[in-house]
Amino acid sequence: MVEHRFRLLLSIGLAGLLGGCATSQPARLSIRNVGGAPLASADESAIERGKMFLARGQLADAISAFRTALRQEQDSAEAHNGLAIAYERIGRKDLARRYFELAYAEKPHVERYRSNLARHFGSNGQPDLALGLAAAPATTALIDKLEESVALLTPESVVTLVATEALPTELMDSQIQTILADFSSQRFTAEDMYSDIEDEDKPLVALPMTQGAKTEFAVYRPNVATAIEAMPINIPSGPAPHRDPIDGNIDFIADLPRNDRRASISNGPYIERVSLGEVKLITAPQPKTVAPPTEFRLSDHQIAQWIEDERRRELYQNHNGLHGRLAIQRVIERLAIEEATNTAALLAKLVDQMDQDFVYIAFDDIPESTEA
Amino acid sequence: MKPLLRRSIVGAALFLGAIGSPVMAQTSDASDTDWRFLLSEAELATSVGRYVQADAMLDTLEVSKTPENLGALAIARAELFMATGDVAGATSALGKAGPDAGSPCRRSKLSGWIAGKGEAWNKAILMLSLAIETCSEDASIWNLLGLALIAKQEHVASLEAFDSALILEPRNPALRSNRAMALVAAGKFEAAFYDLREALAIQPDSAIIQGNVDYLSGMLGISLMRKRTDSDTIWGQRLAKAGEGARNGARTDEATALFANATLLQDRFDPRIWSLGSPTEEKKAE
Repeated sequence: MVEHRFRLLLSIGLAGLLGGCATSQPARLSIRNVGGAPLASADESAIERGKMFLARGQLADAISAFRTALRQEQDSAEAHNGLAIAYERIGRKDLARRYFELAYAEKPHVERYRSNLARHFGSNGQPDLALGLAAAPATTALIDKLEESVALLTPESVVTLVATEALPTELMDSQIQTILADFSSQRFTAEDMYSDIEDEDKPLVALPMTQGAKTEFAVYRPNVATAIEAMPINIPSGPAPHRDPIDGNIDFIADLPRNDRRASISNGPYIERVSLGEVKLITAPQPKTVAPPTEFRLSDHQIAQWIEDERRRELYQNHNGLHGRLAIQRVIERLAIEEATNTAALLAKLVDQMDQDFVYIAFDDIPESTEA
Repeated sequence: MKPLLRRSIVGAALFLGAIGSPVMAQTSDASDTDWRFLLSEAELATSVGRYVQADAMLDTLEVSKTPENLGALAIARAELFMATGDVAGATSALGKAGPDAGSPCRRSKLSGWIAGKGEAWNKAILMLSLAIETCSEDASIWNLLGLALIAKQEHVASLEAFDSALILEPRNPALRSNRAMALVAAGKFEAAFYDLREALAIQPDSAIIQGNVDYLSGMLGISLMRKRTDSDTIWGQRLAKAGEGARNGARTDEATALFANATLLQDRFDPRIWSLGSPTEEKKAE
């Protein structure tokens, strides 16, 4: 009986619950913009939306918009540039660098992308990476000089700009190659030269040339690849290597850290050891005073620099290939013989396999494929 | 400033060469010049370390390549692979370049580097010396030759190579560090330590050079100095490096102490340092 009443109450309760659900509004799934920013109209390009979000400081939306633009146009320099700016603002320097580089790679003639990339490296303490990006002032100066030189051209002239004052002597090294460019008969005025500056996609200047003139431009071939990397010293375990006797009196160094054990927070108070029994608490570090350079110091530095430069120049004059590098030359001679012997042994083995009585071996003509 | 200025001017010259006149821009010469300009920019990016830019530019050039400039593109690609340490890529690209592409110097340098990565030291040394014969002003070739000579245990010759490189780039910290490695291999520890301190003074934030200094300090029994910027983890790693040096310098007790300190400072237990610091084998040997 009790069980029956319980079932009845349970049924009524469930019915009530279900009835309550039935009277509420039907469930609806909706996604809405919670950031408060109005959604751009459909006809607005993704890049424009990205720029708008960037201007408002809505960086996540800007990144999303620029990414959409990249899906529409894979090689959009503008989208890459926008992405880079957004990433830089949120502190993702690695991604910012990547997209700045891509933007510049796609349109290397556009001043804005070049300067953005240069600025990025400058602000991140990587000026070495900005090499070759600060072109604007030099370009202007060069154009001025070219203008002067071009004014002197005659229709028959064959001009080597490298050999004149138009280009500095810094270009005169063995890495210079030259290309010849034949120019058309049309002569342009100075105004024409700068007519395309505003158009990002077109060349900045057109070089004025006289009829039939040929101009030889220097093409610099940079030292390519392998920035020199430091290699970690790693001596394989084994017998102790031979050592110079410079460390005989130094015995045990188990208490290494006591020399300079300071707080890791650089600006906070820290303890500095004065002697074995004394320490002092530094609460407000005194800024280091830098003595202004005196005339003497300056000239001393200049003299030292001059001596170093002269010494380097002198050494460089004798620096011609392997000439004078006796140890290297000896090694190379030995290795060349070793390699030739190996090759000869290999050939002899091949000859044996071929079961021939005679073979003529000329080392100079050994093809690459027979080695190793 | 000078190289910067030079490259800037060269960039401008190339650019001017590239653009020519509007009439010229319609000819094949113009596109060829433009192609060369882009290639030069890509090569510059590779040499400086802007690899993303270099890769993207080379991809662009790939689209408009012709049979005449196929080799130049392949060499540039191989050099990018070399800069990023991709041996397989560099080998493949160099294979596509053909025997006449690029300068002999660049080809020899690439071949030497590839051979060195494959530990074919004889070939590496011969190829790199060939490259030096044609472009001896490239310090990076001397550096590669020096490293190959160290591997071949030709210590005097390797020092000669690094000295030659340092004549060209006296303020290059990596070169100084690598020469220190040659000095260590030759048993001249004091000179090596001096070189490494010089290198560290030029580039204080280099972890590899710092590691080398610590290694040699441990080997020579010179106490380390903790920098204010060193966190416990970094300091622990430095102590471990010094421990490795002490171990290789047959300073077993010091090595044990250094490894013990390093173990205590690590955020997480490091079994490698622990095993290095356990002197069981050495004690047994003693």
